[in-house]
Amino acid sequence: MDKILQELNTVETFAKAFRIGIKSGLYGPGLVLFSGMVGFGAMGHGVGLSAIQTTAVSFFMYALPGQIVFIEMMSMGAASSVVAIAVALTSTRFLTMVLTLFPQMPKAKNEPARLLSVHLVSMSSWAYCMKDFPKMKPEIRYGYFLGIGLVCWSLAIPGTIFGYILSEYVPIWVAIPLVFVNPLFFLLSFVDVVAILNRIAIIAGGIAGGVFYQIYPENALLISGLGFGSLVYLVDYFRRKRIQ
Amino acid sequence: MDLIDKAMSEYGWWSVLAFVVLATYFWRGLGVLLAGHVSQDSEIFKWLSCVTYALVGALTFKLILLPIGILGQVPIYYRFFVCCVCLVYMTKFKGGLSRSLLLGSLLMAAYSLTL
Repeated sequence: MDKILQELNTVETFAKAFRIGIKSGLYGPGLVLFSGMVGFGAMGHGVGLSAIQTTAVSFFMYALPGQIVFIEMMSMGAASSVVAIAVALTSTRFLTMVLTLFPQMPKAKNEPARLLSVHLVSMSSWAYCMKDFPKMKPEIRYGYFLGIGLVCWSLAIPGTIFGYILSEYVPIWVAIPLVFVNPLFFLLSFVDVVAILNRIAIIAGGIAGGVFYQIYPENALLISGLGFGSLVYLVDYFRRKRIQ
Repeated sequence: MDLIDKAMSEYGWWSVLAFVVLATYFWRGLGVLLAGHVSQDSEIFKWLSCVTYALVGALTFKLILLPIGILGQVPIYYRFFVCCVCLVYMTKFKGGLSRSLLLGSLLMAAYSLTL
């Protein structure tokens, strides 16, 4: 991985940056994303979806937290509109992610359309690009992003199918760790959340979720996310106003 | 809301998927259109990140503490224990995300062998 990063300093062309992006994608974020999608495939099987349905979710949505919210809430019988709102809310993070990532890549003539390539933004590809971008020239960053993003997206499909098939045929000591990969992945990625306000939101949402899932399972996610997330924001907002 | 629910129940699971796919893409696409025009320090951004993190936090806690399906066969204290071990391994021993995930999976597999 370090060797790949050293290469970045010498890269001049878009095509070369794209190839290095593919390499880094395979070594780093691709592996994590693949295991996450394997876990998702196993979950899809667990809640009774078909292999085609589970794979379609990964291919078209390509946003692991939203995917899990979707299949969890659908399997619990939540109203379609509530599912749609909850998924749309989990995906709001893409706005902040794209707004921080895309301005770092200067536009070039004849580049692949950004409104299409933005589908390749995922939590893992975003984190790697944010980390590696300062080490490379701005004009080749878009190529690097496309390389990493394309590898991760391509791995999402076989990962999902693999997880689905595995959970059908493998013994329980393989199936249980597979299903556990995703919640553990989310939990561990919270370690990298720097802003204290966001950390408080995670804990408040988590505790509220633990309570409300036992009282109103269908709407618990919305109450905890929208309700308690907004509450944390409001408390901080008024605290800041008072200090001013 | 009732109208949306009626329309969605008529076209079934795939129509809900189509809607959530569009909703997910909406934020990505909006990001491209607004890139370079909106300040990341605005209040709406702060509110959106609070809501997003609270949602993902609720989902994560729920999946770990109140799982549906086979994960429920592993007692809650053991799930909690595995999470703590992985968190400590990642933060104190700088184990990295991939290795911490592997450790968690191995610990889960070890318990599942006794089932």
